[in-house]
Amino acid sequence: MGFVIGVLTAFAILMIRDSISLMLAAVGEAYAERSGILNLGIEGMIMLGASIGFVVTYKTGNPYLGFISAGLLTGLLGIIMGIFVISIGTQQHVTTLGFTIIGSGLSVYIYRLSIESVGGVPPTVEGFPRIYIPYLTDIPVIGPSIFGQPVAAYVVVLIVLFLHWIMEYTKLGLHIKAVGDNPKAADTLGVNVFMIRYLAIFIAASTAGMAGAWLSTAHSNMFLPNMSMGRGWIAIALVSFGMWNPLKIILGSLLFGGLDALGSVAQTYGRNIPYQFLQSIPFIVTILVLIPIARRAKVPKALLKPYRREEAE
Amino acid sequence: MRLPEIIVERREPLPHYKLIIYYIVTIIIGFLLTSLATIPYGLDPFTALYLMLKGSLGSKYGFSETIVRMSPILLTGLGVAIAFLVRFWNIGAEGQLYVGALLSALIGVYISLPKPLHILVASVAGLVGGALAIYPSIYLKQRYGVDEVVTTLLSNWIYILWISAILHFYWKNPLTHWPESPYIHDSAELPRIPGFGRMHLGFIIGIILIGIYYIMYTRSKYGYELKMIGLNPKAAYLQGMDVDKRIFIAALLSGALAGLAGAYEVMGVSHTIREDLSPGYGYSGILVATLGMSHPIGVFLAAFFVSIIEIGMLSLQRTTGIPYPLAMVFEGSLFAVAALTQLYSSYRIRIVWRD
Repeated sequence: MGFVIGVLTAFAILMIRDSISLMLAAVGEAYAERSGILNLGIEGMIMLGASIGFVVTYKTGNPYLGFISAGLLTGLLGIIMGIFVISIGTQQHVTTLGFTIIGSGLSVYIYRLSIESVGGVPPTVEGFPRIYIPYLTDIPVIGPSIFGQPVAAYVVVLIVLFLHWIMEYTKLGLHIKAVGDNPKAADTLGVNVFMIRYLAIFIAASTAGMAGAWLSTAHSNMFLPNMSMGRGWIAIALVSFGMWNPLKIILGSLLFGGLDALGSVAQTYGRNIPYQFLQSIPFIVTILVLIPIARRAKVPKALLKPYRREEAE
Repeated sequence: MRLPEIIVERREPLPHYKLIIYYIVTIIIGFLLTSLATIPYGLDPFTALYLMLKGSLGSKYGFSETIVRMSPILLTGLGVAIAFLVRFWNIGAEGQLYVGALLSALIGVYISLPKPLHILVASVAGLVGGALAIYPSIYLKQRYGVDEVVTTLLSNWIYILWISAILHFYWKNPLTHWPESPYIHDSAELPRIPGFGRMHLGFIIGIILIGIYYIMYTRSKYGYELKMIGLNPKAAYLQGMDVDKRIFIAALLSGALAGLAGAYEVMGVSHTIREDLSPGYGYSGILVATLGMSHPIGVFLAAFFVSIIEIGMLSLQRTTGIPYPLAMVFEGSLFAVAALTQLYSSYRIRIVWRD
C-alpha cells in the first residue's frame, strides 16, 4: 500500500510539474496565433529562457530575478523576430523555425560563456523554495502535488489565468482576436495592427522564456542542452487541441503533463520497461487528437498572412 | 520623438544577378552579427573566419571531413527541397533519417549477400524506411487535412524515442554493450574514396541524384508541373493535373531521400546505428533546402556552405574554445536571410523616420 501511494504521489507531483511549463508556453503561443503569427520559435525560446533563468539564478542566487530576466530577454528575441514576421512580413514557417535554432544555439553559448563546470559535472542552483502549508501539504497524493510545489508554480497559474481573462473578457483581447481574423477591418476601426501583433509576440516569447526558466530553476535545478525535449512542439499542438482558448489549453496541459509524468514514473519504478515508448505517448496522442479537429478547427483567418496596409483587400 | 517605420512595397521582380548580390550581402551581415559573439573569447571576427576556413578547407583532412559532413546534408537537403517545391512542409527529415538508418542496419546485420548487391539492398531499405516514416504525415494531411508541419515535427521525436528504446532494450551491441546495433557485415559497407579519409561513395551518389534533380527541375514536364503546383495549386488543378497525387509522390520521395541519408551514415561512416548517429542532419537539410530555394544548384551550394560552417566551427571549438552552438545561431539567422531574400525579389523594404 505504501508503495502504491508513493508511486501515485510521485505521479501527481510530476504531472503538475510537467504541465506548468506546457500551459505557460502554450497559452503564450495562443496569443501569437490569435494575432495571426505562427511562432515555431517557441522550442528555442524555451531553451533560451532555461539558460538565462539558470545563469541569472546561479550568479545572483535569486530565482525570482532569473525567472523575470528569462521572460524579458526572451521577449526581446520575440520582438526581433517580430521585425521580420510583422513589420517586414517574411514567410512565417521559415523565419520562426530559424529563431528556434538561434534560441537553442544561443542558450548553450550563453551558458558556456557564463558558467564554468568543474570536472564535467553540471552545477546546480537552489531554485525556488517549496511551499509548505500545514495539514494541506500532508494529505497523501494531493497534498504534495497541489500544495507543495515550488513558489513559481503558483505564479505561473496566476499568469495563465490572467492571460485567459485578458483574452476572453477585455477589449485588448478583442483587439488581438480581431487583428488575427481580419486585420484590415481592425485597422479601419482604429486598432494599431502592428502594435497589437508586437505585443502578442512579446507575450508569446516571454511566456516561453519563463517556461524555460521554470524547467531549469524549479522543475530540475540545472541546465542541460536541449532540456526542452520537444515541449515547445507539444505546446504548439496544444494550442490547436484547445481550439485557441486559453482555459481549454490549460486543461489540455494537465492531460499532457500526466502523459509525460507516466513516462518518468515508469522510468523510475520499472527498470525493464522501455520508458522511451511511454515518453513518446504525448507526441502520438497529440497527432491523434488533431485528426478529428483538423477540418473544423477555428483557425484564426489571418494566420500566416503578413499585413500590409497598401495591399489589404 | 522620432520613430522608425518599416515600409514594404511591391515592385517589379528583381533580375537574378541583383537578387544573388543582395543574398550574399545579407549572408555576410548575418555572419558579422553572429561573429560578434567571438569577441568575449578574445578573437576578432576576421580571425575567426580565417580559422574556420582553415579548419574546414585548409587541409586534406579538413576538406574530407567537410565532404563527409556534406554527404548526408546533401541528401536530406535534396529531399526537403522536393517537398518544399510543392509546398509540403516536411520538417521531419531527422526522424525519417533515423528510420532509414534502422532498416538499412537491419539488412546490414542480419542478411548476407555479395558486396554490390548487399549495398544495393541496404540502400533500398533506407529509402523504404524514410518513405514509411513520412507516409503517416502525408496520409493525415490528404485524408483529414492535418497540418503536416505539426505531424512531421512531432514524428521526429516519436521515431527517435522508439529507436532509442530499441537500442537500449532489444538490440544492444553484444561486443561493446553500448546502446548501438551490432556492426553490419563488411559486404554492406560503402566503399571509401582512397586517399580522402572517411569520405565514402555516398557523396558521389548524392552528386548523381542532384544531377538527376537538375534535369528534372529544368528540363522535364514533371519538374515544371511540380513547380506550378508550388506556385499556384488551383491553376495546376484547373489545367487537369492530379495535384494530390503529385504532392503525394514528391513528399514520399522527400522522406525516402532523408532515409537514404541515414542508411549511408550507417553503411559509410559508423557501420552501426546509434542514438547520436545524426547531429541534426535533418534540420540542416531544411536549412539547405530553404537557403537553396529548392533549386538544384542552390541546394548543392548551400549544403557545401553549411558543411563548411559546421566543420569550421567544430575546428574553432577545438582550437579556441568558442562553443560550437554558435554555428546554430548563424544557421538560424540564415533562415531569416533566406526568407528576407525571397521577399526582396518582389518587394522593396525601406526604413523611414516619422515624428
